[in-house]
Amino acid sequence: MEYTVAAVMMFLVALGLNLKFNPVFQQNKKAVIVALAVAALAQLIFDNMTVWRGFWRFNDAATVGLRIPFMPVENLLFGLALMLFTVLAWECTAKRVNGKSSTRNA
Amino acid sequence: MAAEYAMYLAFVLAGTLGLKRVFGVYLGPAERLGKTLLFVAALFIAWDALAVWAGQWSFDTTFLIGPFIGNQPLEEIAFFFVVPLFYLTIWEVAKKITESRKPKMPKSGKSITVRSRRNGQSPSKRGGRRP
Repeated sequence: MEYTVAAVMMFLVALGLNLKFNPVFQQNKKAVIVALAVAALAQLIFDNMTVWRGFWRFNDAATVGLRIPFMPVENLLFGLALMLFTVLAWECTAKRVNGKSSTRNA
Repeated sequence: MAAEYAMYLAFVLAGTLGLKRVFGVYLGPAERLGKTLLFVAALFIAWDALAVWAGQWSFDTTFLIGPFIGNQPLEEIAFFFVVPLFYLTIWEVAKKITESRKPKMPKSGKSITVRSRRNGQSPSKRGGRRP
């Protein structure tokens, strides 16, 4: 269950830090929900493909044993934690580096 | 196939660049993007290396080109740059889509316009949102 504990902890820490320091989490909840939903869907598609192919081999003793359908549920938390830390760093550097919006019209 | 993991990453990267182009997402300046990716990659490569060392997961070398840095295959290191880039693109697209669907003028917009005219300045010069 070591992977389970690490994944849950990292996910919760990432979520907490975003709620505290990422302004988009307060200002645009719709964007947060859309981004997390799309990321989770992409993760379910791609990770299942790669786990099914066998890129990664998971030690069953390190997980809780729940798979959806091929990938361990911990992998979903791993991916969402990766996304949350990425957007946290992105929005925090926006304040320090340029202080401007990161999008522009095409 | 030895390059299968690398091909998977190339596919994700191509999809990311396609999304960026379609939605006109700007991930810059380079310094900001670099700082973000380096921070996330360092954090997650460290987690990955510890997990592999602890025996929580391993890599099937059948799908790898070959070189390892420590216990991390090159593809896994690249993963922590390619996938965050994909997530950032999704993030910016989600922000763009949801912001563009918000009403352009707030209910109190009329009074803002009147005040702007009275001061002889356009809303953009006063720090307002550009159209």
